[in-house]
Amino acid sequence: MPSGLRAPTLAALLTALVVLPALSQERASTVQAALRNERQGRLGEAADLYSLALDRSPDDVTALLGLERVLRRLGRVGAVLPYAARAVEAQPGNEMIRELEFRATTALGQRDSVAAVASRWMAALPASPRPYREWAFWLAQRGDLTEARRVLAEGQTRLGERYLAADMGRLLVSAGEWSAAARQWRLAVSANSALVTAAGLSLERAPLLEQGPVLRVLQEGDAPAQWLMADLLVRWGRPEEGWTVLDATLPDDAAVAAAMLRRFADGAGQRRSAEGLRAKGYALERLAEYRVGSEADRVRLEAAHSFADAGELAAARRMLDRIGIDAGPESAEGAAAMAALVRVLAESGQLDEAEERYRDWEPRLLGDDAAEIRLVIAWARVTRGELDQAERLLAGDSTVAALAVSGWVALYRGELADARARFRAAGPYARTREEITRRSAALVLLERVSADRLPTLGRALLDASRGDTSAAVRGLEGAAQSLSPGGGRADVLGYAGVLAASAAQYEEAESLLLAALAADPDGPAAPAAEFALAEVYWDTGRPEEAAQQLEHLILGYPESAVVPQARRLLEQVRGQVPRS
Amino acid sequence: MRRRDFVTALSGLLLPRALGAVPYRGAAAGRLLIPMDDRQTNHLKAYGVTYRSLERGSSAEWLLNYRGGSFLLDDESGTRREAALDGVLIEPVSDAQVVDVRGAISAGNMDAVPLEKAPKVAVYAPPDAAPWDDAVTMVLEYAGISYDRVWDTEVAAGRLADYEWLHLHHEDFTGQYSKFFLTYSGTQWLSRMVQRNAQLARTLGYATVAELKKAVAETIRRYVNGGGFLFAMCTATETLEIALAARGVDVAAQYSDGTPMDPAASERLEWQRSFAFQGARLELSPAVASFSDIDGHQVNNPARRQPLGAFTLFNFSAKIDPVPTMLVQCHRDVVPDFYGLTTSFSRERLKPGVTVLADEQGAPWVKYIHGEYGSGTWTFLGGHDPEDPQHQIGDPPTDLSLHPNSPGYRLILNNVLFPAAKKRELKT
Repeated sequence: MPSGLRAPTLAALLTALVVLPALSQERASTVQAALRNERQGRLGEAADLYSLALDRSPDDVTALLGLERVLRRLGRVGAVLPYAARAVEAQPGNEMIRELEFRATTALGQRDSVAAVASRWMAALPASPRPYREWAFWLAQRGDLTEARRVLAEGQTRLGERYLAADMGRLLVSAGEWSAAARQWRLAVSANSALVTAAGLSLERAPLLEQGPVLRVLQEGDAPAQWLMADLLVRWGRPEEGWTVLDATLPDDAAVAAAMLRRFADGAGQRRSAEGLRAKGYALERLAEYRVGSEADRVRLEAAHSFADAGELAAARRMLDRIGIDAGPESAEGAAAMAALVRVLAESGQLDEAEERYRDWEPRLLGDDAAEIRLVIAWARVTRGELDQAERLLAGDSTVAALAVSGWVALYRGELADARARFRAAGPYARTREEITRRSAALVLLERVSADRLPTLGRALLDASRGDTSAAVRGLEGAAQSLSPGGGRADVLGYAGVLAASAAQYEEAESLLLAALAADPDGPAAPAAEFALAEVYWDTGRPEEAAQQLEHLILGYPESAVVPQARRLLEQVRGQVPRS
Repeated sequence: MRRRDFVTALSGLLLPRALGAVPYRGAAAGRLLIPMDDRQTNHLKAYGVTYRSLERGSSAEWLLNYRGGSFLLDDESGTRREAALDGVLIEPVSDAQVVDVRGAISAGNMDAVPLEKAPKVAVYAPPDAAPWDDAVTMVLEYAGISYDRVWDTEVAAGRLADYEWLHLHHEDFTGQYSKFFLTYSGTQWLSRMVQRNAQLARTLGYATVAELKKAVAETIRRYVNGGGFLFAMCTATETLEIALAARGVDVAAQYSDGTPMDPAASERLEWQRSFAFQGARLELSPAVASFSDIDGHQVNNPARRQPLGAFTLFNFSAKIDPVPTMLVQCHRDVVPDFYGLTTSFSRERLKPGVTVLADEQGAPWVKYIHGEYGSGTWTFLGGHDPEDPQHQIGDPPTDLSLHPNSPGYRLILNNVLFPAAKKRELKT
């Protein structure tokens, strides 16, 4: 027997060794039974069992949390307080128990009690920011922003400013103090850069006039503050500025930098503006440098698409040139990159190179991609007036999309009957929405023109499509003379008038539209010509004449499809709605 | 004429409800029905067509609850022309059909209210404000209803007596520039507003803008007391009430009048002087663009801001309560809510006797209220723009040609035509 260990002590120790595990087991089974009852919805029984477990072991956190849960569901959460007090007594430094006591006290809504519990929590755990945070949050929820702010400020004074900075930032946002909020968020992200997204979300709602001051605050900060600045610039629709900021402050850690670039690219791309897509392209171009092999190619391909969608065809080409198309295996990335490159070449007007690449790569392109690229090149040829080359590309293609494009070839050659037939066969769904609208308008015009062949009209329409409005207007006027008044002359003159007006050639437009109306005053083209004439009057500062023309149109052709537009313009002319 | 007399008089003027009754006032052989149910192609302009018909001296009736609150007008070529130009659906009806309509009205919760004259409309707004700043001027312009603009000079000169209907929108009658002073300091529009108001206060002999606005509020109170019709929206509702209750109490922040707000202002307000509210607690912080706890939504107080829901219009008895029935005529019973600096009105702040015209079911606030004061009436609608629910400063103006069937804007126009149903002399 060791000296100093007397018999009664030994007996007590032996008893403890035997009895305590049994007690612990009993408590565990009580908590298990309570949990079972809780799951089965027998809340009263569960509460009794949790209480029993706490009677045996006042600081059993599982039982205490369980009791709080069921009492809350029973609407008696205040009843947990005596148990919480005993638990606090048993384990004064246990933050979870302190928090539970605080939570239960807030449920009673008594301000003084809440303050007292929070103060005790602060005293017991002087290094913890949580009591300040919880107390301030509770006060803010009750609308007492001033007191909430005082509590957080007190916490920052005691613990250091970087503690509770995120909480203070959120609170100041609530109070509309944007610059002060930005200063707090600057501290918060400086201490923990993972908070950049949270900070961005919080400061995002700053009104336009506050955005400048917020950015100035962040500009003075360290790298995480700059990242926050970049994030905000994207959120506020200034992604290129955001990219400049981020690009200059990327961290050395490759993994962190890559994650930031991906997040930035996704955010900028969501803007769907040319600027956003451009910024996305820049970020992805940089991201590709952190990747190798096919992964880098995928990122560059994505960057190329982004640049191309933004209209930055040279940048897109730069990306595609860096993808090892010819050297690479027959991968999906390779095929997609080829398709993207040909598209970029076609859209940037390098049609010969595009066609050459297309013919080289055709066997390796996916079926849909090949057909789409063929159409893109053919359409580009059509718009340049290279009608024979376009037709050669489309030879043998019997898809409705190819029919639609070949309809334009026929139209621009002046083969009006062929064009009518091909447009009808193509139907109303082939190709892009924009082209469908243009095709429908062309078909309406063709239906009104009685001639089957009129090369001067085709040439004029081609001039119009290429943006040579003056030549188009002259050509249309000439073509109109060969048509009878009701056989399309009024329609062609009306179209010429609209075209002239769109180029701000108002005098000519007015004269052409008046001629269209004179040619066939009651014909189907008259309402559209009247509307266009009213627009000319309005655009040239003659509101009375515009109003008269519109009233004449609305009252004279109440069933016409242009009446809703005419009413809308009349409202503008009369000053009844803001001028758009 | 007080409201009770008005309702009695209305009952006397109502047309015979029996089937086969003699046509009203020996009207021309045919009439024009402007249906206001879902068949109507332009609800808002229908009010303008009716208003201008009254302006030309024609007779009209408002068929409460009949096909969405339709109008029955004399069949005139001018009306037909305007309807065609405005895209308003009209249905020519024969005398026999009119008799059928009256039969239907007699049998249901409906009524026919004669409209006697186009009311003279005044809108309280700064002289240089664009019509697109204010939902009422916007819809008046769109519907083609003429109105005059009045401002503090005209109010001080007693010009309110010239009008039957007065509208207030987002004016801040506490003189605190809508409490945007701190947030938007340095902006050109705010500087202009401050300069304009301060100069006018000096010209009219007031030490501060807050004092001037209190005096304007008091004149408006007397206008209503004397028989005027007041319609207010957005901040004007809440701040007018505060200004009226704040006689001798400083409720303006230091930036506005040079002295801080009385910290005990809430306790010192005299709510018996106001129209609609009582017992409100004022927002003491000059940095929070909110005035009091009257507003249920607190749009500029992020910690208390409430989300938007939808409000439901009450269904009144047309034959017993024609006035509130007129004010809620609409082709929709439930209307999406919209924010304003004052969006809604806390139920617990309403005075007893206030008529709630629309509320959000289950919410502690109401949207649209009405009441009598002296010989006149007031109507308050919370929110800024029914078709721009989240309205922010700098947003483009709403183009009502895109919302010709807006139920929210219909509520505003009900208020414009409501005084047309009443014959009275204005006492000031």
